[in-house]
Amino acid sequence: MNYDHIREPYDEVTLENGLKVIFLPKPAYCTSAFLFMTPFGSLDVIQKNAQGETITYEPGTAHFLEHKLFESDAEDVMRKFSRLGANVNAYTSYDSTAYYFTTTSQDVLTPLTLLLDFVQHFSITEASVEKEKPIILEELAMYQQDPDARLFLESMRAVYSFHPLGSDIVGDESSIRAITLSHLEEAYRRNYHPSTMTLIAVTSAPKEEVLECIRANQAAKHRSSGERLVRWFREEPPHPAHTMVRIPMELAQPKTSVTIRLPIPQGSLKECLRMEWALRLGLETVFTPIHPLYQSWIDEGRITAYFSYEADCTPDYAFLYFEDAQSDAEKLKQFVMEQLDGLCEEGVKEADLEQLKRRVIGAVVRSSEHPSDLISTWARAQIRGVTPYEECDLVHELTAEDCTILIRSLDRSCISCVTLVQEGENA
Amino acid sequence: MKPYELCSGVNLHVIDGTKFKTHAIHVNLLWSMDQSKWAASFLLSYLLADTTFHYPTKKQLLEQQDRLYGASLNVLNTPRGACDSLRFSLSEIHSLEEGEDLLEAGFELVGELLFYARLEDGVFPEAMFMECREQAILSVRMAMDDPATECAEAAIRAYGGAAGMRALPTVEELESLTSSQCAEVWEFIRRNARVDIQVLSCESTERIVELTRRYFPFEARVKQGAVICPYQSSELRVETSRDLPQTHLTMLFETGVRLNDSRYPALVLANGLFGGLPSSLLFREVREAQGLCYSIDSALLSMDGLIRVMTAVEAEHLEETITSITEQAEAIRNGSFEEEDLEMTKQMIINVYRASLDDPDSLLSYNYRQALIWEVQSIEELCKTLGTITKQELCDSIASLRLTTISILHQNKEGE
Repeated sequence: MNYDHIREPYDEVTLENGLKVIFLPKPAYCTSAFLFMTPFGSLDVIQKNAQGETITYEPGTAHFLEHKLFESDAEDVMRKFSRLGANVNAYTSYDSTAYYFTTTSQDVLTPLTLLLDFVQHFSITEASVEKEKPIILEELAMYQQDPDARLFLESMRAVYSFHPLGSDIVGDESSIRAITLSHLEEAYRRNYHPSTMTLIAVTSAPKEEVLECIRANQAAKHRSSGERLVRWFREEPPHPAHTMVRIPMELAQPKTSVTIRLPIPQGSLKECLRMEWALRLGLETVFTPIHPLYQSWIDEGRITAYFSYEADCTPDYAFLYFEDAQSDAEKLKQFVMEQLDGLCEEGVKEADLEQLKRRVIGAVVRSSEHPSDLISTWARAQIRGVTPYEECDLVHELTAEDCTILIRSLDRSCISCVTLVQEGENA
Repeated sequence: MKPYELCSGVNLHVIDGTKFKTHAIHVNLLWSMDQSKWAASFLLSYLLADTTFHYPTKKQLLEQQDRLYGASLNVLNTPRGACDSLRFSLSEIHSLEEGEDLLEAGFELVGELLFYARLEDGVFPEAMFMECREQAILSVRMAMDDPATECAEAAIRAYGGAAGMRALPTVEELESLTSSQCAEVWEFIRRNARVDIQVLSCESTERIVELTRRYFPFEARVKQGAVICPYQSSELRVETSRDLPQTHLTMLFETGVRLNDSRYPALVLANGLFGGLPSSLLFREVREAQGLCYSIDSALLSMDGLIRVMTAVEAEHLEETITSITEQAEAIRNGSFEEEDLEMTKQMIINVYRASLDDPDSLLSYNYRQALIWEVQSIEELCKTLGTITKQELCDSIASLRLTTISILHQNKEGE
């Protein structure tokens, strides 16, 4: 299969201050999208610098900063973008914080300058930090009552003893209350240096014009070289924090998860991503209707049509996560383990893998259809150390044997089950 | 672009997709909302989605989708205003290799779902029916476990009319359905529903017309499509409680203006200014200035002429929040906002509409909404209209704004 058909041109430039700029031309489009991100996310609770010194942050610091950077000296940033007819927003994930806007205006340079300026200017006040706390606490409450978000969070808490995956991205009630202006200032100073940041531009505007605007803007903000910081995690015990957890919630539909914590993979970012794809595709051949017995598992009531799974494999964490709309954790665990055993025995089938590779091509093309999808796709890939096309190549090169060998080598000993039970049931 | 009438009640809309790398085919079946058919049509979106006569297993259908590079294939129950509707949709990438004809294969696949439902002796096979019914029941339970959905559903049920009829079916309603009832409703829809076929593609119109006639051989039917809902006069406050960390609130405001009203573009701006945008009064006042909530927004239910506000707050701030939301609505109605706010809202809304020119789904959605009210206004024309709206016109569009329904899902924690 020829993947060249789906490639679109792009440019990657690193400016003098270290800022990486990725430019993706979309000449036929009237929408432009720009995303500015730093690899500072909710997992950054403990960092080590080059001298081996430890820096700690309250859980939720990255997210709190994301909220507050929208504040500028003179006027709310959102209002400034609105005046330009540009929609601005931001998100915090486990491993990054990103600020982005879309516009259909021909003038992309004014909102672009605004994006660069507001993210690179810290003007938060103590009073505004206090004012933000109730808003973020309401956001936390919103996630806590979402059954899927709650099940995932409780699953991470069950399988990990210390890992920040056990905290919500927004933090917890005590950490949100504990965050101060000086915490935010320090986190900002260390983690928003241009040398660790990336700007992704998808636009029909001329490349040189856009790059010149960015260069001129950054020249005025040339800073000394940034700190080299790495995330640091406390060593986890070999066993899960809890093997079986039942959480009562007022729900009509109970849900159960089975999480297998995997050892942190050794190797480069790209190797981690390759492992993740090998796991994902291997599991897809079993835990979806591709498997010839899948329908019989539903008919026999072993799983429901809402059974789903996730495989994550990064330098910071690795796990397999299975979820279903049922309340019998032992039954779900037995089902998952039996199918994994079966997969190890039979191996991944080449024909199934080829079928899935075609699906991946379609997904990559579809994700490049709209500028706002394109910036997210490229941002995610950047965090994983590749371009979306390199990711596609990596999938293309995987063989059924690669997937089988990896799945057979998995250490499945650290396993937890969590059930959200209907209130009144024995928790 | 004007639709092609293939036969009475069956229209084809061809949308230029030259700049995209994907094709999209939507077949919308629409009929007057009928409470006796509602639960069955909801269940049909499951019964018709995963298997067909020629692809009798999910595995087989999935294999065919993957031959089309993971084409997404969906059947959705999408009621609109006073009508119920099923939408069959396919999105797939363009052919990559010599000899591939993915567009035709896409038509064939959607045609399979439409014309070759997996029926045996006129009914859906029992095992398949039971599985889909269980799936639909689980989906309703899970949707209602989301407190925001539960609160909003309670609001539209209380409001009544067509909006109330569009509330999710209950578990009991779904449990009482039989396979033959669903098959009968499907037969009714196939023969009587208004059909709007939308194809977004880079291929020639002639070819699309030819493929449509070949794969979607719908018969003529009586024209219908009165989707606009009549005025409702309810005024209710419904309150329930659940063990939750927040109190949820949904407020419905009757505007008196529907999608087919000449004041509708001004109403779009009014809603943007009220709560439809991040620069809105609700966001600025209720969230940012008063710090009462994290999430608050307003949505325009265009066929019903309703503005729906949704938020979640601490119990002690509930009445304060209701008062503040009502005050912001009043401020817009009275014109108590700056000209600059109006200009900003115009820019933002125009940006949203223009951005849909770059998004196949948004283009299809805009095109269908226009078709439903027999309008042919391009996005560029609409943007031009939006740009000329005055403050007075905006105020006129919500002159009869009236709070009609409040739904509260109280937080009830630790014995409170």
